[in-house]
Amino acid sequence: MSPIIYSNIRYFFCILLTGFVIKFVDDYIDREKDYLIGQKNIFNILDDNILPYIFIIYSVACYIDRTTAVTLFLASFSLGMIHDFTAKMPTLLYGYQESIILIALSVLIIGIKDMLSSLLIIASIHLIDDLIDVNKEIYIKKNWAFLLGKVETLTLSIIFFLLSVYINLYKTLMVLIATPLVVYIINLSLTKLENCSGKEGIKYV
Amino acid sequence: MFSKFLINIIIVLFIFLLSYALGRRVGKKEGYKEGIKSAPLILRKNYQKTGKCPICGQNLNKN
Repeated sequence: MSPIIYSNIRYFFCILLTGFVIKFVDDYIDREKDYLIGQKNIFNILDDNILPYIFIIYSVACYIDRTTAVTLFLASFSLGMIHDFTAKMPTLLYGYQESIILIALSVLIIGIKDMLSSLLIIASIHLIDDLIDVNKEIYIKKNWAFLLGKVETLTLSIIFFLLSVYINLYKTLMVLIATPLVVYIINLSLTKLENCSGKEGIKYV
Repeated sequence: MFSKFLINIIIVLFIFLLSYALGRRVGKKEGYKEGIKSAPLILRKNYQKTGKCPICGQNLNKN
């Protein structure tokens, strides 16, 4: 195999594995919310038994390309996973303080270009995800499409995406291909797991 | 060339976003005020036409 194709496939796998990790951790944090609104969640089927596998997947992703894996995960954690920006976190800091410190530290350690491109593409995906889920999360009201408005969310998402393309076209395209793949594979495996275990995806144990 | 084109699109989208968001918020406030002012008139008009009380729904012109 040509080295260029090999390096591209390696990079794509790194982003794909990081995508799985992000989705799993996001599901873990949102498991109670998903139970309330009746959305499928892997942790409501398999309990907490798959937590160690998340670390294995993330280790492999970091081995392939540590900068991409770390920046994508930190960006998604600081933007999407913190539920309430005004709530106190286990670190005794408020949500927004934790986010700012995390972003500042990663910019200092990793570099502004890599971190900014990851932040922008993750923000874009997060906004699109909110836009898709706006009807399901109508009672939760922690949805950007609800807070800003649908057209504003869509426009902001496009702006973030274009800025990400401007900074790093290669990474943006790879993330763009990997994201629907991650969602498709997880939904497929959820349906199969539901059939095997006989549990309903919305049942919270 | 491509990056210049991209920056131009981003600026246009940003201007669109600002004006749309501002217009929507101003329009919502104006609409709310207009609605409050016109609601009694509309209720009165319906009451005069149908003879139905707008509060309890009782029909006043039974004959």
